[in-house]
Amino acid sequence: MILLTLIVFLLLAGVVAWYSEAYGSHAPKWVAAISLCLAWIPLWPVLFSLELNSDQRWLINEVHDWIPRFNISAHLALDGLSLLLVILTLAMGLVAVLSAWKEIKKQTGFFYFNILWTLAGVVGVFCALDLFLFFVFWEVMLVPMYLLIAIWGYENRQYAALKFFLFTQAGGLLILLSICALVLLHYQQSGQLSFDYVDLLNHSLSKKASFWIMLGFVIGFAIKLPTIPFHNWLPDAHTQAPTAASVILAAVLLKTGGYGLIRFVLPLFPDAVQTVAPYVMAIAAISVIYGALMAFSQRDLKRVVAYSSVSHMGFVLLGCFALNAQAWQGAVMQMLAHGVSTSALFALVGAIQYRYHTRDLNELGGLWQTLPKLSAVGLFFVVASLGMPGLGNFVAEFLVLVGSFETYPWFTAMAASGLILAAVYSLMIAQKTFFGSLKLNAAVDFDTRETAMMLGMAVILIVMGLHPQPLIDIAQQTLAHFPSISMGAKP
Amino acid sequence: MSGIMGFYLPSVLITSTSLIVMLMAALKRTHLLTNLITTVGLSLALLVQLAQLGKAPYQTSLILFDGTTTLVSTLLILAAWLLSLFLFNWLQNLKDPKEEYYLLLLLSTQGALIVCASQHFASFFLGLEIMSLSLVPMIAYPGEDNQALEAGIKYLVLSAIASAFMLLAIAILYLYSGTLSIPELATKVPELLSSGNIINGCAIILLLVGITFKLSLVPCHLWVADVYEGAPVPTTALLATVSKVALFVVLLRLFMLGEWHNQTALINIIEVIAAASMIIGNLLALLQKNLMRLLAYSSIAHFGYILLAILALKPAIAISNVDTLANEAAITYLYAYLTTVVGIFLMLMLLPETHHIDQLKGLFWQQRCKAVVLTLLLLSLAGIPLTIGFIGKFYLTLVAVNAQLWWLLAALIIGSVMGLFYYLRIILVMIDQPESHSETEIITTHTQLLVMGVVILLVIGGGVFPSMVAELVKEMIGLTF
Repeated sequence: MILLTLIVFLLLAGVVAWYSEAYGSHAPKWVAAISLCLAWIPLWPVLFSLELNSDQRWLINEVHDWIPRFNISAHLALDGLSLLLVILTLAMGLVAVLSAWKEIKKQTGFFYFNILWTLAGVVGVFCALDLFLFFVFWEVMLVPMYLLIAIWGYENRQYAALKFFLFTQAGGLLILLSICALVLLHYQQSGQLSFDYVDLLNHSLSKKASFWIMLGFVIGFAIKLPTIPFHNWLPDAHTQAPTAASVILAAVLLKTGGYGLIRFVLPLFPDAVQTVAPYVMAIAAISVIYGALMAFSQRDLKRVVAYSSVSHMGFVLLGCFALNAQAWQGAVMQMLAHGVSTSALFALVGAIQYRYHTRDLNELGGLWQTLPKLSAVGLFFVVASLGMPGLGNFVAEFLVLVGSFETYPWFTAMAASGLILAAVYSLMIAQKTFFGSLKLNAAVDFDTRETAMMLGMAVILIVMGLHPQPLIDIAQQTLAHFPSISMGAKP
Repeated sequence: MSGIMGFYLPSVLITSTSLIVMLMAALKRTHLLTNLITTVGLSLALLVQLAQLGKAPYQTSLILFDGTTTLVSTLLILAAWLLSLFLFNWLQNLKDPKEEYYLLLLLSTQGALIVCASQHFASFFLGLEIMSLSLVPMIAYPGEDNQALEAGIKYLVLSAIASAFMLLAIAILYLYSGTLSIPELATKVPELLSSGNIINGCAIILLLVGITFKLSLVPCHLWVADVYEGAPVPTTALLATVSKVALFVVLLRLFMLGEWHNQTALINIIEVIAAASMIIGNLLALLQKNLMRLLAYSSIAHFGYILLAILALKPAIAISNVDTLANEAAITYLYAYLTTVVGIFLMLMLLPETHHIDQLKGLFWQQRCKAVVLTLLLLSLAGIPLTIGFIGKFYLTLVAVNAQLWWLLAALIIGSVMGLFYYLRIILVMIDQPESHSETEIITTHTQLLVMGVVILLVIGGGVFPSMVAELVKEMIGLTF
């Protein structure tokens, strides 16, 4: 019941937050923040009794009846990978709420309702082991996110919200198609109609069938990740979304794509994955470089960060399809590190926008003179994003590159050049915003809430960079169960 | 004997109610009483019909009461019942005489019930004409509205032509097969078609033309937007749901019985109709700003989707023979479509004089309750999970994948994304902040709340806990001869 409780709790908290607006426009944010803290309680027993070396596949495994007609059950389970991502979701959800603290003034109740429902949907995605249930959560988390962008976004919000929804919906339908095909082919072979992940792992599809089904999944997840050529929605959605929505989008929504690849595509289609791996690796390497180049050529600070996401998520794709344990660990680490560092950058841009009502790099400059705290923190996360050793992002990118180099040295070399480009755009952010001559009026620096939030994220990144082993161990709990695909073998 | 009476009782109740309403209109006109009698009559019919669910099937040479008929009849009466609850306020604002509208509503419902129970072309045609001919005055009901008159005449002429096509088809089929019974025809016609006599093929095409007209599928869809736009909202609701659903059941019955899936030419034609309806219907709706026209075009697309279920009725090349799944898919989608679309039209009746999409601007902040319900219904039409619309779409995808209709699935995906675009645009307009912030919460009556509650229960309840719907549909489909 633990996971179901967690999801239902978040959903109920959303409803309470909406109604609490009747007691003043400040009530909803307190409800949201407190409920996000309380949401940890159901997970406590798991966190304290973590036995990583046991052969147990799932830390929590619960099955509830749902649609017996198709043998669909509400199968929720937690293993190392989903535990890490659920923790990320809850933590970054709190960051999102804190970063919206002063920014959102109108319709606060409905705003926090949407935030909590998005988070509930994402937690559901990370825990669902029934493919039908997974798909339901996958789609359901879109609606509140769409509303967040469409109602509280900036100038061009409606266009961006629509684009976001349409892209992901198209990917979602492809996933639905693939799920149906997979289930029916499995039914044909085994005579057992089941949407359950554990059952479907034992399928024995023909090569052709599994290739096409896998392609459907990969495209669906690649849209969410996003990779070239499906990345088009991301810059708009990120730029127009309110800060809190950007934080959630960057921290957890993009991760659902990477999670889907690791959880479903790799174990379900170990053979078919090998045939497409070279092409996907090429696309991933191009994504890394393209994202970095585009980031460099933007004027809008939020667009820079958005394109840097494309670049960073390229590493996740690279790690997934390098098909060895190291690269997979790197991909997981990259999802976590990117989740924290990019959320921090979005929160930072949000803080700047809140103070100066502009995100234009040409209008900013010299912030260090008036906002030393904000600028120092900003510099830290900019440096984290370019992959400075000692911070989480470095560990992640290093692991991905080491892993991929074994299998695809050329693509890896291409992707590695993305690191240099990352330094270029990251330093450009730092130079144009924090240094130089001051073009704007003075403003109030970070208050305690913002400082605490930012420092918290900085500490997480430092710990991830200096002592990543616990995280790797937890992730390994999942990855160890993967079918060993060509460990380091050349294709 | 009493068991058999049970099947006829809803129709008897509705017919007697219509007679009482007619007599009342002749003797003494009182709007309130007429409304009350209609509502009570439909409620009783609905209750009796609900009690029929799960009863053993019964048939005569004209009429077939199997599980499908009973289930769809329930839906049809439900739609009419929901509409009747909202009619009073709507008709009060009309200058014309009001009582006849109830009469026509009851008659067209009765016609639809006969159509969906028919297994003989005589009863089919009788029901179809009762339904269509009562719809014509309902479309042209506001006598001073030229647009409504125009729509009424359009529908009259076109539907008469469609009926003529169908009659000709029925006559030709009778000539060559010597029977008017649908089950006998359905088994004989594939043989006739294979015999190489081209006239039989023509007959089937003519029949198909008639049905595609009534379902407003693509080559025969041109009337639909004008009629939807011109007709008063409750009539449009009836036209969009009751008349189409009843007719689709006949189409389904026709294809269930025979070995149609071997008729490649015919299947190809239906495939083209389905794909064209999905794509063209959605394309036409894409930039449409008039709500009624938008719903009209989207209904074209929705019936294009349901055709997938008919095309999936071919066990020979299916991946796995999941017995009656295609039928279940069709019925579930009809259920989803009917409840959602009736709900949308009811909400539009609550927002009088709303024709243009921009008139909904800021609705979310002014009349939250209605806007939330409307948003959920639109999401259901778009097929977003946790709504019944998604369950319908899931069934269709499952059976289409099972029957390996890949090209049509591609059309379904493209169509759905296009559909999502214009449904979301309506939602966007509703959540847009209005310039003048006026908190004019229009009071909703208890009846309205009840109806909204029922609609939400059917749409969201069915979407969150679809097992009840799925089991019911499966059980009812199983009740057959």
